[in-house]
Amino acid sequence: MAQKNLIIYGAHWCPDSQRVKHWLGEHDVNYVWKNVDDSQAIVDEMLSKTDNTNLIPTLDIDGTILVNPSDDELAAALHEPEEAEINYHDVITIGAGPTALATAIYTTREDIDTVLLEKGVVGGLAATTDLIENYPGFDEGVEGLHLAQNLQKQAERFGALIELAEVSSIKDEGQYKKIITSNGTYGARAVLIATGSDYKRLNVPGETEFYGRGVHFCATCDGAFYRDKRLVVVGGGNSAAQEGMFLTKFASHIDMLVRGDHLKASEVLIKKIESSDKITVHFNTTTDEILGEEGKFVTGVRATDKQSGESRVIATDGVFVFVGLNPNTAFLADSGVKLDEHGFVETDRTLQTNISGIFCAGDVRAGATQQIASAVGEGATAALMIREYLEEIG
Amino acid sequence: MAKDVTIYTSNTCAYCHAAKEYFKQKDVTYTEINLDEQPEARQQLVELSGQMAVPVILITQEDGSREMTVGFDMPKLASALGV
Repeated sequence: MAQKNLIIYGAHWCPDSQRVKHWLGEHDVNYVWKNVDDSQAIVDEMLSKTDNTNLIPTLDIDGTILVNPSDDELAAALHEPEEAEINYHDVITIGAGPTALATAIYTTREDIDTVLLEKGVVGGLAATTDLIENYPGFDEGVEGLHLAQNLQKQAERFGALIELAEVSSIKDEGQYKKIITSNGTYGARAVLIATGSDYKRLNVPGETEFYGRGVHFCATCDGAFYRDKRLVVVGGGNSAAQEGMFLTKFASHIDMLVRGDHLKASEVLIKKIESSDKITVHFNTTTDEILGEEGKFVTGVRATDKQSGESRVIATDGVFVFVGLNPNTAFLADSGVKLDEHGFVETDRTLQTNISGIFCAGDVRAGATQQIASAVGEGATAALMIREYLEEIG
Repeated sequence: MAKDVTIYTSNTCAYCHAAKEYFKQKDVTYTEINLDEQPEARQQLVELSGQMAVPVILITQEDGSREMTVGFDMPKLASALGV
């Protein structure tokens, strides 16, 4: 808030005087405190401004007198257009994936006012995963979208608010953190960074040009376009293996291009890949270029066998890329939040970052295990740590 | 506000759900063409947009100009919809 000259006439024993001081503190408004118990001169000064109305707290804001104003009246009196739209909450999570949803389930059950800000999909990457087979409690596995929707409903049932907005920066303003978004500015007593990670790009020629016309990063979204067609899956980790298996529902054949000499996936998935008659795995193979007719669709992939050095074109109708994850931390560039050398957020044992009141949990945290079950567990832990922090700051 | 908003979706596409949720939050009326329920629309989408992905969002403005978005790109949608 822009600063105005503000004098408060009040007393320590008066709850409304304390309320007003607390509100001004939260909104970073400076004021001069004049205790009416200190001298008759102060009382006389106040009475001269209030036509002898002897009530506290009395506020003199640039000559405008307010007697025991409500919070709304204070906000209106100190209102500045550019600062008018700050939405204050106890806790704001940046991201609304499994981590943030788990946090919100816990905080809202404690009556802690919680808002989740999401720029993409509620449920995060988990929501785009076809089948999650290692999430405890689902003996037959669970569809990612189904799990995400259930987490969302559960959080909302307890009062969590999910708002679609892209966060551009966080500012530490002491007791309140300011979160600047595409949907206006928010203030929060505690912030949870739970932005997770996103699929890496290959960064090869053709990848951008043919996005949506043969190049894809979401099998559950776009797999059905490839019924009875040939596909290439790039990657050798759990995501590539899981999504590759999902794509066998549609594709006539899948060439899986793996840079390393083995799959880095769970044994269960490796066995499925090995026993699928639709998948051919090419180890020690780099993906160098995605080919197609300009303005039309993908026709092939140029790949190189690292051992023989032989480069060849694999004919295909589409390419699905799953080559690892990047932390979503670009928005933290000027925040002062400490990242590790790979761009993940560093935290202490209480999941707090180097800035008091800013916490981090889930895939975006340095040292995270990149598992949905862990993300949910960390979300619950973060909620309890945030609760303690809020109790400490009062 | 745009004159017409059409979104091509599928049941399993999380980004489609995200886009529809965004329309709901911004009070945007839209027409949904679900490719799981109308498989014949799949080819129509490819011919119309040159895309083999969902969501595809077609926004027609009052002056008849049309803009196409592939995927859920909130800043681009916000500017096209004027919200």
